[in-house]
Amino acid sequence: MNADRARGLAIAHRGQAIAALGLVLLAGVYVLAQGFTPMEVSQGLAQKIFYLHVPAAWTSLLVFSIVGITSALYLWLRDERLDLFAASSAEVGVVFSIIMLTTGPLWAKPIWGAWWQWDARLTLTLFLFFLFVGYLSLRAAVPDAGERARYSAVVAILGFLLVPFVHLSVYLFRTIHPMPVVLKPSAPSLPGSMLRTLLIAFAVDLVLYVGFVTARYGLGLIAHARAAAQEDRADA
Amino acid sequence: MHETPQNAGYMIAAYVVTAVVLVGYWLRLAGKIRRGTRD
Repeated sequence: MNADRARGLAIAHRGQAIAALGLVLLAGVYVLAQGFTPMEVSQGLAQKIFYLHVPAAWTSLLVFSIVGITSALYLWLRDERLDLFAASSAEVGVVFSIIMLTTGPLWAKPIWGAWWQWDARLTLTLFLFFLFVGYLSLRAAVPDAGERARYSAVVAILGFLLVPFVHLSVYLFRTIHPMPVVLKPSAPSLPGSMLRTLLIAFAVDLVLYVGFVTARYGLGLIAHARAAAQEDRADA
Repeated sequence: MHETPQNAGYMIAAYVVTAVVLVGYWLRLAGKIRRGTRD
């Protein structure tokens, strides 16, 4: 086993351990949300979906921003590690988007009476998800590493430009989606116990992101080492 | 007096879906790491 592959495996194992810790902490969030956070009277238990949906939404928007910034840095510096980190982050961002886009309708059905509304926030969020699924598909379709990195970096930067519109869509357009309760200029508008659970859930999602992205990055290093070894054998 | 809606099923579904997606992704990565160790 060459040194690069061994390094990749060590990083992947470290990421796997951090993500496992994140999953244990997530179980703690479940207990906290169910047993130690008051129920909102008008929405009932469906309101507790908020502690999964909102942190997943924040995490995916943050991660897609990181992908965009890292991709811009790649185009500037041409460092392969930035491309690999962007690709790893994009995959994890799509995972958190899946949670956001499934838990949202599960909250909407009992509260709005409909699984989905084609309003600005929901539609833009769905487009952002499709854009990063397209990003991953593009990466899978382009065999040349340099072209793959350049093309996908451009897509990621375009996705990053969409992020502020997603966040501000509730102010820019007439929308049925609830207004921000934390990420707004004034003080958070929810009780302290609910805010505490929300912020802890977000922190746990960040631990999961760090674990997943580290594991995915390590796997990327292994794939790079394998491709380099194959090239060496072909040249010999 | 306002009556609290009975909608626990939706909440349970959301908590199950979240756990399945995250644990599923962790297992997928773990499988790839295992294959990376073997190859």
